[in-house]
Amino acid sequence: MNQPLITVERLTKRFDVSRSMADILTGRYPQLQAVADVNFTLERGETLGIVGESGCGKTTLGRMLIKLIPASEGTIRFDGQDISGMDRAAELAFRRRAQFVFQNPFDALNPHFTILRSLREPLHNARVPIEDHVERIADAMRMVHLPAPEHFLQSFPHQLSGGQLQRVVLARALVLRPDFIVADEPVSMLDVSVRAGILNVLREVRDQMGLAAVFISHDLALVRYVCARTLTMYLGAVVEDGPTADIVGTPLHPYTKALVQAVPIPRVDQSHDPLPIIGGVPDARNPPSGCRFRDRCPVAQARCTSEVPRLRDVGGGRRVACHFV
Amino acid sequence: MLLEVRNLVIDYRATRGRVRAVDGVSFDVPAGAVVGVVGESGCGKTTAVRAITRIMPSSAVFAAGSISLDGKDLVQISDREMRKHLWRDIAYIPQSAMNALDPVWRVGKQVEEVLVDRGGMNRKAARTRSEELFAMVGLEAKRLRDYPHQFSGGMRQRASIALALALSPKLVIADEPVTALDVVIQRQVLDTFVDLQKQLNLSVILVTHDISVVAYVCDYVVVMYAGKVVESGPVADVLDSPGHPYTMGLYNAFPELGSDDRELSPIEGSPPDLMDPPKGCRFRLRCPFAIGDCMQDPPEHFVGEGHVAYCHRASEAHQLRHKAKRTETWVGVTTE
Amino acid sequence: MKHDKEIYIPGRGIHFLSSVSRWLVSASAIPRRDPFAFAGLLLYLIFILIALFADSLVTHNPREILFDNNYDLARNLPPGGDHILGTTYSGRDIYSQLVWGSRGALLVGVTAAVWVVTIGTVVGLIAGFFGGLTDTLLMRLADIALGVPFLPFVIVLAAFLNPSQWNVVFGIALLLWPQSARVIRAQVMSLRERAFIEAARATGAGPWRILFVHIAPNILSLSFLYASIAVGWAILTEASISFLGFGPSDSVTWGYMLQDAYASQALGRGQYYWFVPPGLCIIVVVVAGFFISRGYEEILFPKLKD
Repeated sequence: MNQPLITVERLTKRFDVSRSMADILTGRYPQLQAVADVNFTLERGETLGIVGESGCGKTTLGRMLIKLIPASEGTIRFDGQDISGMDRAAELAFRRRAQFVFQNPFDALNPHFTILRSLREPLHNARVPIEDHVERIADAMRMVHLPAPEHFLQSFPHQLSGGQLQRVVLARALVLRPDFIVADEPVSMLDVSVRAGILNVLREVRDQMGLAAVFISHDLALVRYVCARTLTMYLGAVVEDGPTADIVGTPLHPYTKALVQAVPIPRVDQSHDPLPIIGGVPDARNPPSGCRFRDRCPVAQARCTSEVPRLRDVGGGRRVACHFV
Repeated sequence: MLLEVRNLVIDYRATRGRVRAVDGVSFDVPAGAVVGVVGESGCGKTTAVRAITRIMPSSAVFAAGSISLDGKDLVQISDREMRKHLWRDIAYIPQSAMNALDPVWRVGKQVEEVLVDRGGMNRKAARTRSEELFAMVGLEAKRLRDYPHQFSGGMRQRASIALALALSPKLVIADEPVTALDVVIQRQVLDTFVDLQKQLNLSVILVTHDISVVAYVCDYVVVMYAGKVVESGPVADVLDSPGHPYTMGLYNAFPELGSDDRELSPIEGSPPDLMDPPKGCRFRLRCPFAIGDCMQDPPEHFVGEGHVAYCHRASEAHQLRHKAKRTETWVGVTTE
Repeated sequence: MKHDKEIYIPGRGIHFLSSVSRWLVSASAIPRRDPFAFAGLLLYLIFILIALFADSLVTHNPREILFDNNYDLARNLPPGGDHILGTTYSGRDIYSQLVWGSRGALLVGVTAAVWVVTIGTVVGLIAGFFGGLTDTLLMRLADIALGVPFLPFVIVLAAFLNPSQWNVVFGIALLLWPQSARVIRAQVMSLRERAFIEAARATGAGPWRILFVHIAPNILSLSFLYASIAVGWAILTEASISFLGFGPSDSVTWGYMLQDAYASQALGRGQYYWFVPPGLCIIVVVVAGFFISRGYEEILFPKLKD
């Protein structure tokens, strides 16, 4: 069966927001649309980057893919099966195959558990027989290049560095040999010299285990390093989708263009041209009608106010949500 | 030379003992220049730079060194005298603008307070000046009536910049001013900042961990590691021809958007515990080029005009640079 | 392979023992640092030892009415000779009563504290974690318990059930659990949002497992903190009840001694050696509990460092 591993259709998530006095008096229940009508697929073994600034919904989307947050509308299919409305057994089976890597290595491990204990937890919950625990853990540690298991395994999180902790978090995600992982800003809280190590491990794991991965980041340079394909998101909607090299080399959507140009590079001779974006902060509670990007877009026209642009196939495996591409 | 810092030593009193966060740091800030101080967390950059403003936690102890602004000593003077310099000669932009802005007062009022209390202006002049300042940083005048929580992250940073520039200081110290911002806003705030710097001929010390920001904004760069300066010089020289292995390693650790698939090499290990730093060169335990000599304090080596590196092998920097570009060089360094 | 031989997964028993010993080591870090907590623990220890060895430490039977050589009632004797602290109006040895009273005090104190903290912790955990209706119901129950005036309630309880030490404990348990429950609930609510709890969910742990295996270790120190406060409270309460005359008349406690002294007008006779020692003992135990809690408060609510 060659169906994609993950199919996301019309995925939407709304959150209730705190009500002002005016809302209470008028009986309104304002909501925030964190993720708006997202559609994409992920093949087995494919690494997909999701890039966007804070508030674009990427973190919420990532958590929905792992069933940590329920969707408001739309479906997520994992290997053909809808992940909402699963019974306990099906959900456990899903969790054996889909794992999550957290952003903050200092908070992702229980401070009262030894490293060994934290690594055994997924094995315990998946009812893996105890005889196999040692081998699984050893494999996972080897994959993330963590040295000298014995002394290490009996340590507590507060005794380890950020880089080591994040490798443990990754090992924990890999110990069940999942088919799919979601990594939410896995290096943003690490020192710069340590990031490269984790990124290299991610690349290696991707190649050796052939797992499908979603890599969420606000940093396009990191995504470029790890992911073959990228989605860019703005205010909850996917605005561009395609091979990372193409998106960075020839961005099509106006937002992606601004995003690519905004990333500084470690070279003195870089462009200081003003960004092709009009200032102004997006208000997630009251996004503009029609195209959500239109109030900051340099090429917006009347049509953009009334018509929401759909994510269209423009060839070369690329999709763009803009009327003028 | 506007600012000269010589052999700055700053300790922290911790429960475990004394930690020497800054150990003999020296650097200069020429008038009208932007100097970047770059390094990882724990390298002492924030401590060193805040020492200039004397805004330090109570556990910090100024152990040794001299700081002179325009020839005037800033170390021996009393706190009261130092406070006179703040805002007027030296301004500080903290990392989180919420540390600069008081949440219970309107932003405009806070700017006016500085202008009136420190600048000796009357209310009317202060109001006009605040509108000017906001215009300079790209904020609408009507925003002066808002409270800080009504501002977005980028707007708050702009407001802190406006606050810092209120009394036209000579030196602005910005501590990771854009780290917490999204990349598009970051770029816009940096552009505004750069424009203002040129317009007003400000001298700036910019503390950051991101060498891309340094490349974008700075004229000179000071690279710090474990409480010491390891390299300093004009930005172009330091980035193109680094003289210290740490700088070479840092460069390799940054993924670059434009370049195709340059493999990143991490610097193995982690920064040393400053309660008990390694003897001699502090980077030697993570350095792929360390030799026996590195057990002695590294000497100052002149790599180029105004460009120094503190490394025993700086004279071989040329060859080391080539090696440093290859990932294999950096693998297995800490296990040898 | 080298790795396989080096990983050793300890059996459950050993794992438990090592967890406990680790906890003890970290728990003893505080007394080593804070002289007050150390003093408090020392005092508790002294009283526990006195209570344990009360049998050997008493000079007379605390309930026995004593007579002197002339077959007169050995009443109101000042301290000295046979009677370290003198005798009561009814001819009982005060010192022995004092020593014996420590047993009652600690029994009540510790039992009540255990109940209060167990109920409080369990309620706090469940209310904090599950939220919603469960939380509302439990917190309303807590409000009711808090609204009931403490001493009158225990008195009424003692009146309906037989006045006995266990009813005092029962009353304390019923009314004192909300304080710890509330604080633990707040702590659980903040822990609920932490990444490692989300991680536990992502690795397939069910809600009960998360609550008792992942969250509980993080709030146990809080429970112990409240236990040390509750002991003092319970002893104080028992003393108050006994002093007011609603306590059991068959057992000798410090509160009973105070009541006895008051009823016998010991103050008028200047018999300080009778009522000062038990009062002092109560104060010392309560203060010791306070010192311990003060020391542990540091680790639970650490001051923000620069």
